[in-house]
Amino acid sequence: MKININNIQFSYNGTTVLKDINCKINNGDFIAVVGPNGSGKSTLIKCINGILKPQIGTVYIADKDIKQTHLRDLSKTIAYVPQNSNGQAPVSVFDTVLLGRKPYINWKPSSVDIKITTDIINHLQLDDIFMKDINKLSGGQQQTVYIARALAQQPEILLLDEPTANLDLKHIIEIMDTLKNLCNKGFTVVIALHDINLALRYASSIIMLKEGKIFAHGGKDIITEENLEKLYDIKVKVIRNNDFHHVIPLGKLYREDKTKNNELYKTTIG
Amino acid sequence: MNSEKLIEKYHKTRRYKILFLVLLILALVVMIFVALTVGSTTIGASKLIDVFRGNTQPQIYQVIYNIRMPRIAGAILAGTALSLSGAVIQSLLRNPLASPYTLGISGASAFGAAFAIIVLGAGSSYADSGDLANINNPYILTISAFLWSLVGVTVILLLSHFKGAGPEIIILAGIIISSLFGAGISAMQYFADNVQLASIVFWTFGDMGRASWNNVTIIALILTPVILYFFYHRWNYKTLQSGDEYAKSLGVKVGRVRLTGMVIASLATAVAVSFYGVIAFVGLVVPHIVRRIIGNDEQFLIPASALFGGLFLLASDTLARTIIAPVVLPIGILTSFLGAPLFLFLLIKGMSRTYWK
Repeated sequence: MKININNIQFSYNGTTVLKDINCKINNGDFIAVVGPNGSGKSTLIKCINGILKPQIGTVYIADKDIKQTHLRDLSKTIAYVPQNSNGQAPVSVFDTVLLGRKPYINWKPSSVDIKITTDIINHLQLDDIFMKDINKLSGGQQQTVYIARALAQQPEILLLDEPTANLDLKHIIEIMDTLKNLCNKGFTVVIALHDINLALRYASSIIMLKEGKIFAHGGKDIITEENLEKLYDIKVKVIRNNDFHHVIPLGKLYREDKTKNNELYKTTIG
Repeated sequence: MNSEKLIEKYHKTRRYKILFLVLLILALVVMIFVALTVGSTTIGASKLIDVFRGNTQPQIYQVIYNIRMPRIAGAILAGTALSLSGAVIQSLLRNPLASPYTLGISGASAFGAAFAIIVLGAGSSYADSGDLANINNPYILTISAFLWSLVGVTVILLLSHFKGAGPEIIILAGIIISSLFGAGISAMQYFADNVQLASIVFWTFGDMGRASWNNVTIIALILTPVILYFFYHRWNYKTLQSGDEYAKSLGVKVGRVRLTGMVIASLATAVAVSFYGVIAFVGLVVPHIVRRIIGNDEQFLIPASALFGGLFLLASDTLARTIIAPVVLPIGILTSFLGAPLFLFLLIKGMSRTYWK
């Protein structure tokens, strides 16, 4: 399903968090939103699913203005996996995934709701822990449960806010592989990420945000040493080997205008 | 595990929760029967049937119809109101320590009721009437209790909204609100005359002896839509358990749901407190016990808390009437004695299960 972000601006308490954001996301895209802390990644994700309302501009999902759509109806198309689960009450895995059916439930969950919930639990191999308290699971399992909950909404678009934060390498790869598989099945995935290398490995397109504006948008080729140095203010090395791209952070960037040091760059490594 | 097996397991858990509700209803029926028969005059089953058939002595008829029945109904309704409010407030604030009592809502309501009695003249006190707090305008009393309870709720909501205060801060705020209104009640006692003083002191004990058909009817009329409202919103409350942002993404109007839920829970508390005084711990302990038995599932938590609250308070009141008969203990004293160690036990035994992250 197509997402068209049309010139949005979002301010919070008088501070502009997002400005002049324009971009088009196509069906089946795997979009990684990257940028330094505070660059507006989470805000952009929340503007796409309508949790936050931009003061200027709008977001169109399949050519429909989301301002004109009730969030309950929108949640049948877009599912959101929030950044952290702090404050999550002790609820079973099954009940958590079933919650994703809420937009479809009126009085009580129907047999269809139960069937979809159990199918997703099985599909993501959560069946052994389905009656366990979610707070007692490992970080990776919890994140899988939240993705399962999002899938229970039967969405076409998945928005995830740093789903790999606090996970070990194995779980990061598992979560990202799961998302890639979903993308191959036709889901559109938009994910806020800190790890550029994950973005390079999995995303079909990358949005770089800097101070609330789109700094660059495109394929892997926008991940250049120059762009990253401007974005993060650090020295990096980008290794390119055919289709394989890898970013190695080298150290703090000392610019001539920032320090009075005669050396242009000082690096801790290399 | 295939989907059929998972579905079967899910239905098994659901049946267990339904069974719990059925058992609560049965226990409530049994408890009503016990409460009708025991007391200063023991009325056996056969005599009880005679009362309902209409062929009995006027004295026994009087005891059953005008004393025990309104008292039983009052206890069930007050227990329901307090437990339901407690369960909903806990879900709304995602705070396991929240309840009408610990947040100071009960204290604020008590102040409001005392304010109505002394300042607004809702209650007159006749030393010779045998009933120290004779409420002659229950409407003003309830409205005053409700409005003052909103003061307490406003502080809590502002703290949780603007300061993002955690569970402990909210409870500390509750203690502050309680002591503030406690001081307010003390101030009114200081300026009250002897009879008024006695009536406030007597009134602040939660006591089901004040139940009458009149106040039972008012509580029932207010509580029925409150129960329906909470039950209608059970999925919204369930969604809030996964955080505000997620709830918003599913279309839950978080601010509105939380605000109206808190105001309505305060109303339910205020009604119970304004007629029967402060009954501590019911709103805190009952939802905890229910959560331990059936888990954090608002679909069942809300009806189960309502039923279990009614049962708990009726059983406590029956105990209060009989434990040192012929003296009838005020129920507020008994629930505090029962509730405090019970809550401590729950804290020690079930920390991980009942506590939010």
